[in-house]
Amino acid sequence: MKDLTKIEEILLLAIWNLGQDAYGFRIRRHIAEALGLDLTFGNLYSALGRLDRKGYVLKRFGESAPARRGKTRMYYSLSPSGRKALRSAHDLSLKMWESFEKSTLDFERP
Amino acid sequence: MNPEHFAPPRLAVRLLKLLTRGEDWIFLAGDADEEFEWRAGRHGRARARLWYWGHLLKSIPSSISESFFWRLVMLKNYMTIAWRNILRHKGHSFIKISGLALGISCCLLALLHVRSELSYDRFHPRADSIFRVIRVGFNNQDYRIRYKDPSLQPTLGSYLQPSFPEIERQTRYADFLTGVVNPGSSPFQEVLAMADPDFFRMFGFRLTAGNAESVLSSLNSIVLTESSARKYYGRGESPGENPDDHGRGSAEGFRRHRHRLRSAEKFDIRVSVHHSHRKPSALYEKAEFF
Repeated sequence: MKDLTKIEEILLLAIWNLGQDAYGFRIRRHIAEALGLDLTFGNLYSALGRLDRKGYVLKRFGESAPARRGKTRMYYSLSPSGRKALRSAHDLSLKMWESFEKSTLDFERP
Repeated sequence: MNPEHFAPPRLAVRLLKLLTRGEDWIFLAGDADEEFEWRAGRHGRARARLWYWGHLLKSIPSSISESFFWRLVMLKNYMTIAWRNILRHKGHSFIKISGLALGISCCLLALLHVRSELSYDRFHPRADSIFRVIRVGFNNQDYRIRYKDPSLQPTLGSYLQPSFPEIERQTRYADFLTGVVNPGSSPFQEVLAMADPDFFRMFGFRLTAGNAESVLSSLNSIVLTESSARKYYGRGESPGENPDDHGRGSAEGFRRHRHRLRSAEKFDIRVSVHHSHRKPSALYEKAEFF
């Protein structure tokens, strides 16, 4: 199991959330609206490339739209291993925060 | 409205294409177009253009680091492997690396030597049209061994010049003469060279005093290097006085000996050939062709 970086985790979540509608523009807008994170296309596409190389996402050629001036869309969806990686990332961070909550959850504390 | 007006800035699109080589470009540019359109619909065309540019410039650093970072990581890995191999085979590495170093340094030294040899007498402004005349001879027994000799008949130049119009100027040059200076009270020897008046017109030696056109043209004239001028006249004094050479010479000027190391001629005092009372055993010939 390869480790997920934070941005990869965010991307997997966004792709999962968007379902059938997950392509570059949508993923970027989704992250911007849900998290307030303005990813550059460079960041976005290098991270998507990494996910693809790790086998966590599946790519599918889509249709074009007038606004795209003839350029086709590339749709992403989670692969089974991507789903597994996302779940383990979720479990890990849940455990991480739970163990923290056992002590006092006070960020001002030194 | 013309749909062209809504298009993202063309230069930015080309820059984007440059930054994202490969097949991903189509999808990336399509997404960028779509967002541009979306922003143009919400905030207006100008804001959308501004966003497109800003976004592009923001993604330059990450796209560069993305392409270089992993290459550097790989390079570091290769270096580590190479270093470990060196440590594992110490004797072998020592022989190989020192051999290579020796070879490279010998090569560089040879190159430096050749460069220094080829740079001789190149500083003259018309070095490409100055030629040295040499004599090619054969030995007496079987006429098979060829030798080259720079010593020529003293009068050769003046005979050659009328027959070959290509020769603009010619000068003889002899630099293995010694002269006795100050023969009265405390005589000592000085290395002298003799040359024809055209010598300073042909070569790039600079005179610090005196005129290159007229120097050495009269009998009993002499040209001194700066160091020998200092020796005879002291620092800062003007030339033109008779040097104490039998009372016959006249100092024409001082030659700055700046190019000493790079010149085949290493002389201190130049005497006009006209006044040499004895015929020298041999003279160099130098002729300028055009």
